[in-house]
Amino acid sequence: MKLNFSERKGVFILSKRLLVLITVFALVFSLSFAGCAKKEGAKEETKEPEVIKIGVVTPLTGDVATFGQSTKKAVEMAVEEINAAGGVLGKKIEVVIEDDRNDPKETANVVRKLIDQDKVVAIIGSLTSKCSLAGMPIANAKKIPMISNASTNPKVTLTGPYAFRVCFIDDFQGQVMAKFAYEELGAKKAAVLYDIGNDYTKGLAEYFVKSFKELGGEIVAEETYQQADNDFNAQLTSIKGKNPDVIFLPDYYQKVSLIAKQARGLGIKATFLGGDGWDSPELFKLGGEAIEGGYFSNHYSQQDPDPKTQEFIKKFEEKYGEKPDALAALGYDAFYYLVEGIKKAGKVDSVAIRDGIEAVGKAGFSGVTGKFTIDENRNPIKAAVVLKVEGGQFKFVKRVEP
Amino acid sequence: MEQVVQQIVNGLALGFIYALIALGYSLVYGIIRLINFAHGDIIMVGAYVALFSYLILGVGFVPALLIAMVTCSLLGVTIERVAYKPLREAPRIAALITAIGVSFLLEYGFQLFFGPQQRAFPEFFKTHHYKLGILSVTNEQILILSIAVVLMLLLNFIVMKTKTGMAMRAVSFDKDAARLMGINVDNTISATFALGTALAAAAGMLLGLYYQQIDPLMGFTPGLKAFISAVIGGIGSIPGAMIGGLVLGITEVLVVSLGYSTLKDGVAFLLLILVLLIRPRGIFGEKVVEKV
Amino acid sequence: MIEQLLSNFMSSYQIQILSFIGIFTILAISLDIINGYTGQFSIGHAGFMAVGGYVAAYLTFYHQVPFILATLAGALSAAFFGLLIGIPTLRLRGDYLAIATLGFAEIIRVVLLNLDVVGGARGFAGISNLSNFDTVLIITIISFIVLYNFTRSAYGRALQSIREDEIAAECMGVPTTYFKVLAFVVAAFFAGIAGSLYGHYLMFLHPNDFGLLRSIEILLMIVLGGMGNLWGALLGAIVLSILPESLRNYQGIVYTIAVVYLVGVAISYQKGKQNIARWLAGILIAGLAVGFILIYGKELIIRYAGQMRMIIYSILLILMMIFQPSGLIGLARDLAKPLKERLRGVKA
Repeated sequence: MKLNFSERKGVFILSKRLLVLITVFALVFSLSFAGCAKKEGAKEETKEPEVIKIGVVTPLTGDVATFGQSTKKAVEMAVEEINAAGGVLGKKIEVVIEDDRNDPKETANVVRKLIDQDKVVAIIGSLTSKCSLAGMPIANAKKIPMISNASTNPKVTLTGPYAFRVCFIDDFQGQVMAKFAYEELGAKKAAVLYDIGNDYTKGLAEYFVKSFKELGGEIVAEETYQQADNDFNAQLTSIKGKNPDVIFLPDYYQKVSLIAKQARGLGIKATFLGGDGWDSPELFKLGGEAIEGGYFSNHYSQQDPDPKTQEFIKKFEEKYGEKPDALAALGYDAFYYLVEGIKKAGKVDSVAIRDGIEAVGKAGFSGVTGKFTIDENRNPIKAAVVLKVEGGQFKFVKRVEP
Repeated sequence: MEQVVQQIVNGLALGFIYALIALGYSLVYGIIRLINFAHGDIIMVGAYVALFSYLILGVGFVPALLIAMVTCSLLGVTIERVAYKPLREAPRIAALITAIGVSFLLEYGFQLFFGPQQRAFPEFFKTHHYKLGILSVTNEQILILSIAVVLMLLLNFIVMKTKTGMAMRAVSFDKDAARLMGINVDNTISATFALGTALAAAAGMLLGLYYQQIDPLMGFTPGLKAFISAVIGGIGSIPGAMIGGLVLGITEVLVVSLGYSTLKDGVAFLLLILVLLIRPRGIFGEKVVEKV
Repeated sequence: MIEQLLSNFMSSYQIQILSFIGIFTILAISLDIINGYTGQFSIGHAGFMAVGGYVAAYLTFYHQVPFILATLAGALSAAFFGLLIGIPTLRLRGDYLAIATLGFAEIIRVVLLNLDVVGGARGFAGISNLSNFDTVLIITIISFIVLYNFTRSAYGRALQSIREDEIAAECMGVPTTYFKVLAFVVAAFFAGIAGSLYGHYLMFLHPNDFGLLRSIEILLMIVLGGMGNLWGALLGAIVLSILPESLRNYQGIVYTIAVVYLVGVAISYQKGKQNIARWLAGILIAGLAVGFILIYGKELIIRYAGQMRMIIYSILLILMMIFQPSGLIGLARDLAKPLKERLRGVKA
């Protein structure tokens, strides 16, 4: 039996306890909707809004936080530029940036919040395909255009006419590298090693394998690992036994550098190939000499002489003190793509903006990651570049047109 | 054949790291019957401390190892005093949930303060490859093996030959009886935590050396694997933890080399469940008689 | 129907949050059957959810099975997995069981990642939107009533006797093995239902969303609300579904601080450790926190709130276990007890 010490304190205490109890529960419930309260004055929709509100949904925390952070930086920079130049259609742009932790459930919540509560006219995001696939059906139902900067799964834009993207899809990157390996490097035997749990790396690997076989090459080993793995010695030892000319490592730079080091440690001499996930200055820091001589496909080259690209890199470095990665460049392009769409639409109306974006895409959009036009599924048809890791730099090797 | 032997060599290095972590688990579990989920994250803290002592103080391998071990044992004792001690008499679930909480706190705390990105771990040594007949062995693998063995022997000495060690064994056997015999139970438990976490810190540093990069979430998986090793070997037993670690390390490597890398974690858990079903006390574990 | 009624004064964002509360309530109350009522320890609940979600989505996607039947099939398959996982409980206790459930859930996740028929690592996209707020609400209410009655039935009492003392229960003639497995089967069944609702609501499933983090999220709900009490699980699901959303802006953060402060006061009050000085000190600290937020404002919050969230969660978890192991509902009950006694006294 637990003793109840307060019993003898009588009525006064009792009412005070009750008061605390009631306040707590009242507050818990008011909290319920404090965060999600409807904004006052949201009803006056007939009037054209004073500012153009654009939502951004991207993972600022969680396992792919670094990419979300660079997307955010690029978008913020783009907004500053546009507003400094007088805005769009004579209106300033206001962005609402929300985190989705790379959790599809959160993306669904954020997209609804941006549309219902913040009344945005368009959304940039989300980053990973799994989040875009959860968010875009909602945007389509609400007729709000949504542009992803990095979701490469072909299914993303199939969710409806309001879904757009600025990156090429997995199929293309896999093909580019397979072709490059077979034709330029003269590789006959290739091995792939990828993360089974990640749609991006798996997608790239599958299309690489398919294209490489079609070209007449031989895939001697197809090994996999999982995101939490850090030890690839076992897989690499098997690969070593098959003696491939090239090894395709379509993961992000962290894993790639780890794999490369362990592979060189085992005495594997094959050339490493990869995708846009390699693009980060961190690659040299983490990978060191092991990664030297590797080739990867990317959205753009920092050595691209295009003044637009060079200006973007310069501005980004001035503002943040670091070189932009591919995700930043794509985020920047996504934003300008949207802005062009709004200009084309001529008014701040989400349906008109969608038509505007499509028109811009059909006519051809030129951003820092190059020029592209869109196909009937609103997928950009754009060139990829192949870069070589050499002396702590990414050397431009070749531009591959689709 | 050549490949299989090479794979087993790879598995040995991994197995010894698991064994080192498993020892800490085993010690802590043996004395307070708590799966210290945060044990895996101590590994991560150890690696970070080693990294920062290299970056800031510019120390070499051995001082960095010692600094990491000392810092982590202080951290371990603090965690025990603040989070676990108030729950010693509480239901086991409460303590386990607290341990999960501590684990998250360390992981996300480090993400917040040091960023979520991977960091390159300093190369204390230039990697050399030695050819032993058909095998290729690196100096890192040899170092991992030797440090692990030295620490295990040291631990065995402490537990078996010193007074503190005797007190630990007494407390894990029967807390109340130990108290009646004049043993300071609280201090003994703290000492156990200090020892266990120091081993984890060493393991963290070795992992950093092995993979050459570290991140705030690096400790979780090895921690879990180490727990499995400890259970397989028989919890509370020092040779058991070692054998368990090696068994798991080599099994995993063999599963991967057979081409079933995606099933690696599944096999680890399957092994655990099988061992628990067939021989619940593990390979070297002592039979526990349930008291009513 | 109800959704339309609500949409008059609520945004679809709010309705969606309410729907997720419903889905997570089912998960929390079913996990409570295992962890709270039977005293076993499972940290693999997301695995059952995944099985239910994927099976149901597979049926509606490829075979156009009606939603209710598909959900039932999903729930039954989840229950079958519950049986599989329940069997090792014959031999496993406490911590070992926890690790085993974690392992099972991981195996399920890895298998799903390799199943290309349901999308594999690319996720299962294109699931029809067959559940909405109305279906979630109705199924949540039914589940709650069923489980509530279950816990009060002879079965429920048997489960609780295992929690209190397994050996004593066995001595009293309770077939403990049978009941432990039963707890797993029942809980898995309802988790499967929740999984189906989740998949058909979100229209998308991905294996990695049913990992350890999801299981821990559900576990947190019952811990925060109070284990061994379905109302507590409900309360926990409500609080933890709303909290991350309200931490998205200012106002929400200020409110959260106020609420956490008040709950803290209530806890210390209930423990008889309250006095004026502590009240004032508490108000001062809470006031400072609010003031700090108002001054440094948005930028700081936007930069750190997301990252702070998991830290806040973990601290909450530890503090809750140390100071208020019976959860929010236990706190409420303790606070209300004198009132109840008084009312009863008046009546008598």
